[in-house]
Amino acid sequence: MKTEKTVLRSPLGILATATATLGTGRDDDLPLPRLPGFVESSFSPLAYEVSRQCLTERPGDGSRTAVALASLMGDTTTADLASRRMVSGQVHNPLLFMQATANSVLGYTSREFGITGQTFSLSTLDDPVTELLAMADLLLEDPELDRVLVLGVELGGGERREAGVPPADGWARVSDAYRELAVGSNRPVPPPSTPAGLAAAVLLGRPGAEAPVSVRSAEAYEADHATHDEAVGTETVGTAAAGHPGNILGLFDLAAAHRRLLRDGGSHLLVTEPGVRRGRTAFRLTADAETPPSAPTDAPAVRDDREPHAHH
Amino acid sequence: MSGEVTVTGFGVRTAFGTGAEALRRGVFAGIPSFRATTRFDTGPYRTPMAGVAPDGPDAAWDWALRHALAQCGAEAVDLAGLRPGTKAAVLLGVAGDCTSVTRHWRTAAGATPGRRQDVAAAPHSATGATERAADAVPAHLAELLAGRLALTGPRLTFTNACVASAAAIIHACRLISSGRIDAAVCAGGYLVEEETFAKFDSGRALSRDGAVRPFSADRSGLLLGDGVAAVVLESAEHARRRGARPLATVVGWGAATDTHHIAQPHPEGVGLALATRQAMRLAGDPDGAGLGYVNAHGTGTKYNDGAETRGLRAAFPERAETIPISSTKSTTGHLLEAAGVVEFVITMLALLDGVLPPTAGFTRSAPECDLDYVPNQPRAADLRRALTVNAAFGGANTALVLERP
Repeated sequence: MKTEKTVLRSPLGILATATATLGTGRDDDLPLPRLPGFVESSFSPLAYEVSRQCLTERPGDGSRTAVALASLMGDTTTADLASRRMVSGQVHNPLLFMQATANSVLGYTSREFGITGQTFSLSTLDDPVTELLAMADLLLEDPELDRVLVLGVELGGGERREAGVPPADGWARVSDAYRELAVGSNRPVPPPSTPAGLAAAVLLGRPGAEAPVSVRSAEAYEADHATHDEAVGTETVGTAAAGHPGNILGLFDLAAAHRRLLRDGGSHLLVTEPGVRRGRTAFRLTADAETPPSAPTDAPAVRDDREPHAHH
Repeated sequence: MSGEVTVTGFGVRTAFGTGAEALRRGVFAGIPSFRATTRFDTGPYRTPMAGVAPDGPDAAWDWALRHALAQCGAEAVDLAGLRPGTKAAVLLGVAGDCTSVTRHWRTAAGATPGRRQDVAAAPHSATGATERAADAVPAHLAELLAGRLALTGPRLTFTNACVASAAAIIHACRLISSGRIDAAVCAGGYLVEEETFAKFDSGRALSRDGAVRPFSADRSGLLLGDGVAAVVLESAEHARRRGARPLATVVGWGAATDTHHIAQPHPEGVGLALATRQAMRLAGDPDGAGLGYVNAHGTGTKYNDGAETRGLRAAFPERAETIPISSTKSTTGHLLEAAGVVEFVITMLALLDGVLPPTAGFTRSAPECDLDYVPNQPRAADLRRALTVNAAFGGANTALVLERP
């Protein structure tokens, strides 16, 4: 498949990455923070947790920071809970009104970290990695911004599965939507075993001393040869087949690659899932040669060193 | 900035009907559109009122967000003369069509719908009912719109509540001015339905007296309204090459966050002032000397209107008292995700017509609202530039500056 290049005009520096999972049964499932004003749904706690990790690890000027959150379907738990209460004639919980949009947790994050730059939320069918990196590249051309926090949040739709009688639960509604989206997009419906919640965040700036790993658009031929790592001579991180629409696993791949580069140095090719209309997009992540003091930067990347991803 | 951003087409639909003439008859005459909605049973709620079009024989079709977006998008593209196959971005501000969520849970609950509920439960039934679960997915609506308009550029959907379609316009401005794309269709839509109505009712945000009275001492809240609009933005060079006539130019944009509360605006309008100052700096007029009108967010709630007034005072410390400001939500109602793009169109019409739309329902001044709100009557004005601002949950704020050619 043809690859789209030059998504990024200029390289980006990766300042920090963070991931959080809920209900995967894995050891890295994090206890999520309880956020005042947010109830029932893990959407906002997931979004806040990964944002908090990045912004705490690399504090910066909130007046020069923007935040973009991508989520295909948003907070389906809150939407379904509110709707079920409504159709059954129960009085709405005003807190469900307050948290009904992703803006609310973005507002919470902005208050906690003094962020006055633009904060906004997106929905995209394609791999959000491409949209979010492109968004950061565009926003960082604004002379009033230095940093862009991008994050993805995905609820499996089954967070409150026990609250409904299958198939009339939240998962049924979400999977109906995925089935319709699958028509014509060649993308699968996520399996019912999909984790209850995933979130990943990447704090980006322009490359510099603060950002030992940088990411830039890769040339098309690199991605077209991505299955032949020997020819490219670098580690490849990315999913081979398209997952379900809007899935945020690419952000987990990016975070894993970032962690590994910090540890080992070297270079990675991140290949996104093919988009609805465009081919795969490729990005090259490169560690500053002087960054990992304990790792030989001239050693060839080791293929077996892949980190497990949340979807495995 | 490397490229000037022009507006070459628009399509708009509100409770007043479709097109600019409907806006002139309603919004620009200061006539509110509010009536008791029959789209769903309003018995459980504190008010039945909303800015909705009267139900017609095609109500089921009319209430499908996908159809309304396609209608406005087609009008905008026709006016601009954009041809099918053009590589134009489609940038949308929507929350998704929530009626499919209602339908799912009504079916799951085994409800026996009454006559009115029947329509609310299956608003798409006239057009193939069951295959619309995906319409609740915001990104899907952008794909549908791009497909209907046969545009081949990138698609992206903004979901950030009441600034969503303004954010889509700002994103288009950045993409165009940086030379990344030549043209974009920016659209937004919200049609009154029960999911959102019930949430605003539970939050006690809806007006108690059936009217929206922005900036007025006796304001008691907002009312929701139908709103869908699309605008074609393109670089001046792209428009010139096509021979398209620019209707207006977008000369400034800004976006900022309050750092205050998950749902309430900062009482001093901090983020609104920041966004406005950004936009005015970009427009090369930081003091607002050339600004002839501000289309305010003006929801008619206690929280918003005082905060917005203080924010505008902070943005224009020398000039705020001399700039006419009005809230057209007093006639259309709050259009949520569509507010940004519909009010963008209204602001552009004010520039083109030389008429300021009034703040309807205004009775008496409030101490915290002490600017010129163009109360109740339209006003003739020779404008060169106008500003439109929006605010949303989470303290998100946007500002856009338009200029007459």
